[in-house]
Amino acid sequence: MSDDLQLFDEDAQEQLDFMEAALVNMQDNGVNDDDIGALFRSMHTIKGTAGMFGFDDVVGFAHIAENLLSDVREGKVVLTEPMVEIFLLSKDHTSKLISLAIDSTEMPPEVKEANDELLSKLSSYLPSSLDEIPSDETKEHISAELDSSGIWHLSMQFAPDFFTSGMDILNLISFLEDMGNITHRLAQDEKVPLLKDIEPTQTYIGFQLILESENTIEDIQEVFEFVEDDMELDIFETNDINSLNALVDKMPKPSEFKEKLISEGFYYEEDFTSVAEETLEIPEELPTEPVEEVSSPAVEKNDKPQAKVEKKTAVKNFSLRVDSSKVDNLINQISEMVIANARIIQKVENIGDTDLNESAVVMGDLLEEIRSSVMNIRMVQVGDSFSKFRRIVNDTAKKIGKDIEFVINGGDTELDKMVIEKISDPLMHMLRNSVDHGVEMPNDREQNGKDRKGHVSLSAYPDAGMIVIEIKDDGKGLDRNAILAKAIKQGVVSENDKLSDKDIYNLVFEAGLSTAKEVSDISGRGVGMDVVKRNIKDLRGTIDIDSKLNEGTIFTIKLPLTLAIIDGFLIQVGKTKYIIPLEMIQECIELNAAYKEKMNGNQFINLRDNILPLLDVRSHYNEEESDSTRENVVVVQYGDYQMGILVDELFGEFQTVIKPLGDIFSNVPGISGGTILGTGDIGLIFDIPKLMEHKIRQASGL
Amino acid sequence: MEILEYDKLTIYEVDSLKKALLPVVETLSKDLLLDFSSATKIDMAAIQFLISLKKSCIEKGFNLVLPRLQDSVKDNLRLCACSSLIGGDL
Repeated sequence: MSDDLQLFDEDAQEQLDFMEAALVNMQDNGVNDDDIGALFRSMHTIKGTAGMFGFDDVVGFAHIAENLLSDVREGKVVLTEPMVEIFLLSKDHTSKLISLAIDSTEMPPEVKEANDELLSKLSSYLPSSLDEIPSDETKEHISAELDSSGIWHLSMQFAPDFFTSGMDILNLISFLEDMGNITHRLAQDEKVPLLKDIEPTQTYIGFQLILESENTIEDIQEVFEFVEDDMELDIFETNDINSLNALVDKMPKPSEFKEKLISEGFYYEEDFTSVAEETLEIPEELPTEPVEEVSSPAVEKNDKPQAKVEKKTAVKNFSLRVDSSKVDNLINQISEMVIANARIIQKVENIGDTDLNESAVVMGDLLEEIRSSVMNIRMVQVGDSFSKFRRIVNDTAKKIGKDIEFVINGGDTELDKMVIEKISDPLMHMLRNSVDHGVEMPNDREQNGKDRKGHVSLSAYPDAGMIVIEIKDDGKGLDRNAILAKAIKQGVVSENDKLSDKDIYNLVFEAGLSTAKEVSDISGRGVGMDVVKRNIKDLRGTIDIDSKLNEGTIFTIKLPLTLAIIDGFLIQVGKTKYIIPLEMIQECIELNAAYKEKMNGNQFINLRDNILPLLDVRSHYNEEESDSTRENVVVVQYGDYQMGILVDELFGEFQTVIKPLGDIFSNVPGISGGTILGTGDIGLIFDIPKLMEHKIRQASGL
Repeated sequence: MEILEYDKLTIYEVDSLKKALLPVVETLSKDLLLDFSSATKIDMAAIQFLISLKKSCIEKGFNLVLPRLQDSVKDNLRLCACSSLIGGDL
């Protein structure tokens, strides 16, 4: 795909997302002008950009949809629920057309069929198919028509540096042509100087056009949205004589301009004066005034400016599209710099030069700031990608006849874009599950004394260096016994296993386990939840289930903020350095020799009257004895569990870049990655949840 | 004779076109024929330039002839109602 097409594709997808968000919002919260406007703008943008690439199928389809939307916006057509549905389908269809166009593939028959069907549905809502009738009358003199509403006069005069705005006037005219029928056009070349005097990149030319269009003045103005500061634009209906005369007066040579308009067939001579016959409303306060007064220049000047484009004051937020690999590169380089600087700081400490030390520390702080800024580039709010789930929930609920209120909380929580992308499919799957299996049918809910309407929520919030995503429903909850029975039947667990409720719930993540009584096309095939868990694990996250029968189920996903860097705590056991993720550390305790004596080789200590299981890293990883005279316990917490890690040396906080260990070591339990320390040594990063799992198994003798 | 080749006529070309054509037009002694048949693209800046060029030729009492323009270029000239202003073989 060429760069241009790539850009087009990205932009179109974004517009399609906007459309979907607007439509789904209207499904939920009723029809409103903001969403209709957003919908129209997106369709309009897609049509415009597709037009630049000559994607006729897309333009053709978008054109009809846009027309209908335009009527909706003007209040000519009322947007009903079935229409929202059709627009949702149209959005999907547009997306299909765009991918076909990008692949330069012809519409396959089934798409063509869908295309025609949607077009006829859309058209059926149009008040009349006026805009599709090629009118022969347009060749006639336009003022001959009695009702000239929808016939606009456009006057475009440009600032001298207009060409530098980047917008070609030809494109503007071409956009206008898309909006209707340009029946008259006049290029004003009087100001274009001779070759010897011309500054070729300056704009001298101006244009007068007559446009027949069903669009409103706002729609037409929108074409000029990005260039309105660089030009003088007048738009008025051709029967608006005041505006017409004001325009004539504004020109450097009014009479010549007027003659030109007449000779080019824009108007008849009498169109400039014959107010009485044409204008039905004569201002009431002037009933006795002669007709000529009304059209006198002085009055016109006061009346005129309404058609003038008002300057929009809203500040536009713009974003920059950057290839994500560039950001990845930057993050990688910064990460290497962080490592290199850690090394410098270490050397400097050895040298003992205070000035040098200070510089190195300042440098370290700056690097840290840069690093967090760069990491921030990748951070996006989860809300945008969450909102697409609305439609999935609504569609799924509708399909199976459930009434569900879907709430999104914490949409402004920021998360690494890559993490969001990777978590999207699992979330979608789980939401479908919640709707399909979690929430009961309205009648069943009523029988159980619940609100007929089910509630599903998707929440995101930061917690201790992680992002927590929660999917919660108030459905029937997981059936503990059914899961267990099924798991035993499938041989996943044996009948003699003693399992806690949590263990049993977690069995739903095993492959092939679905307790759905009926397999629907939405979910229930038992493929999926195992994939969900694997995906989350790949992101160094965890997933947990909590459920109460008849009260509902909560899935809690915990994800690291980012995949590349962690704040760690450097320790040493034997000859090897390890890193413990800092956010999991509760405290560090010195284990003195006397206490160790008392432990009698037990694998736990008494921590403020609580039993703290101990993991002896030395014996766990067969480390050598160290020269260190004292031992320390690092207390780590993960979820509800606490554990002590018995280590030799504590070095303190250490920011580190995670480097994958490579395939051979990918399955070493308890180690999630490695890093290069300032000294050039390798440090191994503990996978605390894994180590705890191991410890718990060991303690319970599994 | 200097031959300038353009595959497009846009704002990026107009300065060099002016530089090349100004001495030609100043000493014009017959109709000016320019072959832009290889240009596939034209924008408003270039159209405006051609209008200026045409005016200058007329002022000297001669004409500007642009034979074999590509359809895409002609379409754009029609779009902005400039065909008649530039003339040539349209």
